[in-house]
Amino acid sequence: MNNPILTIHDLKVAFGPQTAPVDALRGVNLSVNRGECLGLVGESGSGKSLSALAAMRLLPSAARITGGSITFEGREMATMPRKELEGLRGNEISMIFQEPMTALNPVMRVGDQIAAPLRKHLGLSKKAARARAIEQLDSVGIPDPHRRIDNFPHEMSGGMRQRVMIAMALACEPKLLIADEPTTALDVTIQAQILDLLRAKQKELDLAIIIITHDFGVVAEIADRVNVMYGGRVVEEAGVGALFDNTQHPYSIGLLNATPTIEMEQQHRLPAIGGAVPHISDMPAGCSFHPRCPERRPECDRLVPQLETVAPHQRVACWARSTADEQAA
Amino acid sequence: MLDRIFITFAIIFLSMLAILVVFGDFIQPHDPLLQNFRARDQGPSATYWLGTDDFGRDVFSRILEGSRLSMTIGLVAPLIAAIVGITMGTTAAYFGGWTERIVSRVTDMMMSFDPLLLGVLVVALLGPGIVNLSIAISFALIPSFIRLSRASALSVRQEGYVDAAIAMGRPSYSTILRHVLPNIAGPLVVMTTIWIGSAIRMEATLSFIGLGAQPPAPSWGNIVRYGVQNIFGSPLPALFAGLAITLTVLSFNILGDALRDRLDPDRTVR
Repeated sequence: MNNPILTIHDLKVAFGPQTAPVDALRGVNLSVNRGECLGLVGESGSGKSLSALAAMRLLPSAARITGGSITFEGREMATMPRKELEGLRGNEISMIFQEPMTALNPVMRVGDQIAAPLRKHLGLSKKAARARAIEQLDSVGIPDPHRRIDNFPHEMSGGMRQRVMIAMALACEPKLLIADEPTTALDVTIQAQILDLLRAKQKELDLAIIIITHDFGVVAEIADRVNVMYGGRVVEEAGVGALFDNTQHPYSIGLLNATPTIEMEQQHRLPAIGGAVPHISDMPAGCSFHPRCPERRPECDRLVPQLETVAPHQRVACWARSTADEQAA
Repeated sequence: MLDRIFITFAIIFLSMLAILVVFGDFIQPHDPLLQNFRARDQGPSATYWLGTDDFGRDVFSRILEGSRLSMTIGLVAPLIAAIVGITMGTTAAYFGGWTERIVSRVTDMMMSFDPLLLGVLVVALLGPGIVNLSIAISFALIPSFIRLSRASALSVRQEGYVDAAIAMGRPSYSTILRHVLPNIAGPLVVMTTIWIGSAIRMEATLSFIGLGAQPPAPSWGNIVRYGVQNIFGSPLPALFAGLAITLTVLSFNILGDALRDRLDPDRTVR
C-alpha cells in the first residue's frame, strides 16, 4: 500500500488475431509491497497464472499485452526491450513453476542450472558460481549438497526438485518471487515444508512473493494479503484475516464455502458454485460473475463494477456491496 | 540376434572404409590415373586385385581413390545441411510467429521437389564439379533437417524448463543452445547418420548422369558410369563400384536404425 515493488495497473491481455482478439485479462489491478506475500486465488481460467506470466513478460506467443502497465520499482515492464528484461529476470524478479518434474532440464546437472543465473547476472566465475550453488542447495535444505550438485534431475524426488527450483530462483537474491502453484504437484507434507521454506526465505531476503494458488489452505498459511480473481479481473482484495472473517464478494464467499474443513459433518454435501467459469471468448457483459451470482442485481449484467473500499485495506468489485449503487441504479 | 550381426558387420565395414579413406595413399597398389594399354579389361589377378578397366587402370585403386571423394561429399554435405537446417528449424520453432511461418513455407516449397531433382537444379545452375555437388546435395537435404528439428523443438519449447530458463534471464540463443538442442539431439543424430548414406547415393547418382566428379578423377558414381559404357569389355569396374556404394549406404542405414533404437526413449531396446 505504501511501498509497492510491483504494480499492475489495468492490464489487458488478449489471445488470437488482431482483428478478432479474445480478451483473457480485462483490466487487472494489483500491487505487491516489498517483503510482502500476496496470494492470487481463483478457479482455472480466472487469469491468475496469465497475470503472473504477463508480469514476467513470459506470455505464450499467441498472447499479447493490449493495454495497461506493469511497473517494477518505477520501471515500466510492459514495453521494456528484451535485453533489459533478460537482465531483470532471474536477477530481480524470479519465478518458480507448478511442475518441478518438468521445470528442470533433464539432461543438465542441477548445479549447472543453478549456476547459470549466477554467472549471467553476477558475472561469477565457473568455480565461484559452483561454490555459491552449493551454498544455495544447502540453504534450501538439501542434505549433502556437495554430492547433490552433480545430480541430474531424475535422481531427485519431486520435493527436492522444487527445492532446487527455489534455490535457482533465489540464487541472485531477487526482490520479487512469483510462485505459480508451487505446491500443487506435491503431497501434503512436502507442501508444508516448501511453504515453510518460502516463508523463511521471505524473512531472510526481505522478499516479496506473489503466490498463485486455488488452495485456501496455502493462502492461510503464507499470504499476508489476498487478491481473488474471476474472469480476468481482480474482484476482491483483502488482508488474509479479513478475507476469511469478513468475506465480501459473492464469488469469494462461494469459493470459501466450497473449501472442505475438518469440522465438517461426514455426510455433509460440499456446497458448490453453480455453473462453470465462462469461456474467455464468451464472457458475460457487466460483472462476469453475474450469471452464477446468488446476489445478482439488475445492474450487474450491464455495468462492470470497480474495486471500491469497503473496509480498511479491503476492496471489492461488486454492485451488491457498492456504496454507489443508489446512484448507479 | 540377426540385428546384432548386421550391426556388427556395418560397424566393421565402416571402420575399414574409414581406414581406407584416410590411409588410401599408402594402400593403393597402383596410380589410379595411370593408363596401361597392354592391360585393358583384365580380370582379377595378383597384380590387379579387382581387374582393370578399358584404359588399363587398376579398378581397386580407382575405387579406393573414388571412396575419398564419395565419403567426403557423403559426410560434408549432410553436416552442412544439418548445421543450416537445425539452426533454421530450432529458431523457427523457438520464436514462432512470422519467423516460423516463413521458414515453414520455404521448407514446404523445397520439399515439393524431389531431392535429386533439386540437386540437378543446383548443379545445372552452378555447373558440375565437386564443390557444387556438395552444395547441391546439402541444399537438397536442408528441408528435412528443418522439418525434423522444428517438430522436435516445438515439443521441447513447451517444456517447463525452457520457460524456467527464460525466467532466469537466459538469452534466446543460449536457451536454444543449452536447453533445446541437447534435448532434441537424439533424433537429429539418427537422421544425420541415415542421410550420410543417402548423400553418398545422391553423389553416385549425380556423378552417374555426369553432373558430379569429372573424369579422369574417379568417384564411385563415375566409375559406374564409364563401367556401364564398357560393360561388355569388362563388367568388373561397374560391379565393384556398385557394390561399394550398396554396402556403404546399407551400413549407414543399419547404423542409423541401431542408433535410433538406442537413442529414442520411446522405443524399448529388444
